Amino acid sequence: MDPLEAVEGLARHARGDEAPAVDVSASVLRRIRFAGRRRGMAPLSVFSLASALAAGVTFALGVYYYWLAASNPMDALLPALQVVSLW
Amino acid sequence: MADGDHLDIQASLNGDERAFARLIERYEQPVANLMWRFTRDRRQLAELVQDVFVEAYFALPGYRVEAPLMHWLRKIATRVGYRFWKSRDRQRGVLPLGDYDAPVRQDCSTDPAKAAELLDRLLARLKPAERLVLTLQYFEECGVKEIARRMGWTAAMVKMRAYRARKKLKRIASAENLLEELEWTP
Repeated sequence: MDPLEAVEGLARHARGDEAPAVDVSASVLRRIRFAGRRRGMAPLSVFSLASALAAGVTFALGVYYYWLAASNPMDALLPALQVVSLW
Repeated sequence: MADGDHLDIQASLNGDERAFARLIERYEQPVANLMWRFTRDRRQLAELVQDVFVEAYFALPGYRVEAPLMHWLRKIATRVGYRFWKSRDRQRGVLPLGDYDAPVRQDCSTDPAKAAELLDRLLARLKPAERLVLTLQYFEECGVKEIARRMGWTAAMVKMRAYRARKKLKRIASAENLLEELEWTP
């Protein structure tokens, strides 16, 4: 008998081998909930961080220009005029 | 596809956990039988079956309803098993074949689990891709087309891997004196 035929004979025996019983539904649902939270949170937290940063910068610029405009209105217009002249 | 499956898939897509739990209960044993070809360790088996269902849950929106659910699960399970083998490939050790208290008899009267373990040890000496092709052919009786479909490989690639794997396996079986080990008559 060819050794490969022996392997194939072995395979015919092995096909009847069945896995032990498993019960995974509870652990799968737990993992799904956990993965779902992580998937849901990641983009949200990045978005929140970016929004907070943008809001903070806008507010700081607003305060600065308000103060600038109050002290010297021409100075407050200068950056805008520079941008227009560059364009 | 069974109506129950269809309803449970729709409900799962709408976030009903109990519906997905029913799908798991219906298919966990067939999936476990397939994953049992990828590991002989019970704890690892449970983890692999979990991996398959977690992956299936997140891929559920892309599932095409006309195909039977088990076909789709088999595809996911095969890929999960293959990834598992690939991740374990570096730590792979060669196990001796002759640790059996009873020989595998030629007349199919032996415990299939013994034959499966011996075959698993033989196949474990191949590269993951070659092992996968022969595992699916020997244990699952899959044809070239089916293996190609499950793995997204071309039929030519599957044939080439099967050819190489058989050649290597023949060499290994000869070197290990498999026929004497099995006490089979030539």
